[in-house]
Amino acid sequence: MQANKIYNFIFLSLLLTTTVAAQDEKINGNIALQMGSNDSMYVVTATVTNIATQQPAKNVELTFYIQRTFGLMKVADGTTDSTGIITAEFPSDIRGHDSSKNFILIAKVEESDVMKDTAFQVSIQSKFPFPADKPIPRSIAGAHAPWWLVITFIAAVGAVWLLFVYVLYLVYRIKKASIKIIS
Amino acid sequence: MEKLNPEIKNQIENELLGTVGRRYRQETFWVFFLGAICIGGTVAWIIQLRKGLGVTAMRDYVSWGLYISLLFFFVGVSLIGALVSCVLRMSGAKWRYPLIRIAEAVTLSAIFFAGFMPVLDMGRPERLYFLITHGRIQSPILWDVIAIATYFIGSLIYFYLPLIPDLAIMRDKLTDAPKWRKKLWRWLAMGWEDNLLQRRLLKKAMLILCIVILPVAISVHTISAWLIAFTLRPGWNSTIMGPYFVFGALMAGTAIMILIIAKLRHGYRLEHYLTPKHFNNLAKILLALTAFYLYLNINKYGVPAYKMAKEERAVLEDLFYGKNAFFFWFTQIAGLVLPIIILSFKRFRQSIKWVVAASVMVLLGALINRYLIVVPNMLHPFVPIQHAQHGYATYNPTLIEWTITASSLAGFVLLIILLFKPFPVITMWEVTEEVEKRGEKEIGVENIITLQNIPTHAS
Amino acid sequence: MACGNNCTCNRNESGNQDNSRRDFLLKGLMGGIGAAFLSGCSGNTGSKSESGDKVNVLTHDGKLVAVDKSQVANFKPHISEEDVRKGIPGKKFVMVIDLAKCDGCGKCTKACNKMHYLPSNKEWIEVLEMQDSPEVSPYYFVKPCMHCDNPPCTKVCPVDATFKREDGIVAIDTDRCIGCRFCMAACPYSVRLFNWTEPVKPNIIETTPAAENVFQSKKGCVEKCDFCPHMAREGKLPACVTGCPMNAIWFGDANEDAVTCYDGTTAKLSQLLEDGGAYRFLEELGTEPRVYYLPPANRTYDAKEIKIEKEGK
Repeated sequence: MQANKIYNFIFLSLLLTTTVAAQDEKINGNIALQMGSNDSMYVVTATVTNIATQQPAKNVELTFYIQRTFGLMKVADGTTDSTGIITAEFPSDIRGHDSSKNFILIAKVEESDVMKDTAFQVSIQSKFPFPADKPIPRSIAGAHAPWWLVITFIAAVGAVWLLFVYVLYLVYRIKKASIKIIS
Repeated sequence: MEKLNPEIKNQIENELLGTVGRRYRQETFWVFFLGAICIGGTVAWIIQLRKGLGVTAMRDYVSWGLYISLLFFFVGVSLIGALVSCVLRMSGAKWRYPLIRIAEAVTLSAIFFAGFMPVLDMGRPERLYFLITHGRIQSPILWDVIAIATYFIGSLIYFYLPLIPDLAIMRDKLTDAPKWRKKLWRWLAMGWEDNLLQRRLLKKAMLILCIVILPVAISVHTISAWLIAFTLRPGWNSTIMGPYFVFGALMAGTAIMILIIAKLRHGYRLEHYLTPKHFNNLAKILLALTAFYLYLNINKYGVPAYKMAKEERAVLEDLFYGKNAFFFWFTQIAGLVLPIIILSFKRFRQSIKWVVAASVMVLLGALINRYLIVVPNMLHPFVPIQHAQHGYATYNPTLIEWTITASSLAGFVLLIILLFKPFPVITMWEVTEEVEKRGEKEIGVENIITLQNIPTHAS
Repeated sequence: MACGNNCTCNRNESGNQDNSRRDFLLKGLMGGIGAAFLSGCSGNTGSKSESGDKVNVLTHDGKLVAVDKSQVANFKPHISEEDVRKGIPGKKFVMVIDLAKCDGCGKCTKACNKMHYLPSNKEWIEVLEMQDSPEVSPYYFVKPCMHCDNPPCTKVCPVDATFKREDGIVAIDTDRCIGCRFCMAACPYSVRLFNWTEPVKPNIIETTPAAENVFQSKKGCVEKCDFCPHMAREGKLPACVTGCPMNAIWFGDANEDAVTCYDGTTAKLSQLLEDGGAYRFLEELGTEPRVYYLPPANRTYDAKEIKIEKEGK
């Protein structure tokens, strides 16, 4: 991925269908996210609009999280300006959460005075390769023995047992030797 | 030297065959006594199988105890066969001939019980076959199992090979034996008729086996040492373990050998065959081995004791002046230093009594030493033992454990006695052959020709 | 598209995130960890009409598949013996224990014992009092299984009963263990326990597969801390983490470079280790543990109160 190249990710309006009467004075908001990146940082630009009026919502506190297996990792936060826009940066060394290298960025409005709680998420491809599953280098700890051990082992044990068999064969020849003379 | 008079040879054979199947009062007592202990051990084992290893004093910290100590002891003792039949053969010691069968019998019995001890120690003995179906050859346990099995089979063959001509003698001489026995002897004797080709084949087979058995024997005990040396525990994490075990084992084996021939000499009236020369020579070997073992001990304990590194300090302090100090200094002083002093004097070496006394001390020291190698190290792991439940941070073997331990030792002796019963103790053909070739003195036998001559002349 | 896929998007998220996380997890999503996180809005722009009916799940081989939600609800997880031995794909579990926060309350042990139906005399996760030298102040030391990357225990197992999984967990198959206790001797951390007698069986029906049973005790077999893989498969934290009110234990995935603690705070693993001056216990042994410790600096409790139990008493 080249630096300074702006990637546009999914724009998606988020429709809130919750009908909470108690929060009448708060507005229903809509978040649009635009992702970009430079050398070492992701730049995320969020535009918050009031769904009812389609006007930019200002003074909305927004928190950005990365979805991780066991929880949400906070990466940035801020408050929208008068145009309803907030630009935040966070380090670009975020890893994908599976082999597809994608991770999910969530922009959340939580307990805001202005707006009802809402969230919006985008899937971003990480700049880092997903760590390959490297088997443990000391393969003696694994389920399968390394070839050199198998060969050494079989050679050593095999040689001894072959000699045992040969000795027993000699015993058999002792028996043969007697039969010849008797008969 | 000229050939033995056939009549004398006949007399020798008759005398040595006299012990076969013969009942000795003292021996019968011992057989029953040891048998009773074994029955007690079997009962204890059944209890252990039903209730689990909880009946032992082993717990999570001391997860190996008497059983594994005994495994190391038995594996160690089993090395005596390789010492007598291989090392002495290579070094051209002719006095070994009367000792070969005794040494192999000790080896067979020891390695049998060495194979038995891990089964006793297993939490799930019914899953033993998993070693074959799911075995991982990276594990030293698998190596140990295979090495013990290989050494057992090898020792069995080595016990059998010198027996072939003797079986032929028994087949030909003991004509009044029960039919099934004669049949068995006939079958086992492999049609031996002492012709040149048979002799050549037998010598060849014995030479090959003699060479093969040495690396197998050493590997058996080295691998047993690796069971503990392959761990990271303080005190065990040491490269000296392999040689330390092997030489400790040869030492213990020689001591046991001396004790057994001392018992057989009088018990089976073999004074002419097991003579002070044998005791003297074995005592010399024992002296060399105890001295070398002391040297290894100084390395094993002295080197870390000089450094007193954090982790090993606890183990060493325990041994030097802690709970196990008595046992430790007993093994070092009574088990090594005193025997070395005793055996250094020619006068004592030539006295069977003193050699036996030294051997008893060495053997006791070796037995306790196995325990000291295993248990104190387990009580001093890297992570401090804290909040341990009652009985977890100490190890005081239970009655069940002692019973099983005692019965394994009893079984070991019993099996040796039982191996002596159906066969002559001394390898008849080899001894007579070598006496013919080199004379009595080199073989170490005394007056068998002249003494036997008297009744021959009289008749 | 309305985010109706039972995910966090439009939930009122006051309070503990842990709860909501549990809610939006669809139980038994073909064993695919993280499947639920992919559910919902992730790039599924076109499917407005089917909103609420489709859900993305992660299959074993790491592929995303959109399936109907109704199917998922009744989908019973089937985790084969092979899957259990392989571990959860794409994960490398890691634990970070903050010794500065641990006040030795022992709730991690209690939570662990409850999770695994252990009697009080068994401790898969132990809290020890440590003092490295007489002059330095003592501290509480929490000791789970280190799940070493170079595990001395799996090396020596003769029957592959204890094994290293691809997700970093060192697990035990109690249907395989022969009880030789070589692994116990080999473990330098003394974390392995043995069932010397018949364990008391809880009155539960196990639904989780073989080596991921919550109840693992079997007479004559070895057991130890297992990093709760049955929880991880559902995207949940191990019992000790959710049981630690001090937020001293962090658990996560090293591949993701993130760890989470009791209150749901998720931190960047590399950052946490760097800022905290992390170390691993007995690093010099080369066992490469997957458990990191943050040194007991600037503690939140009085260190003088800790009494050290003398060894062997």
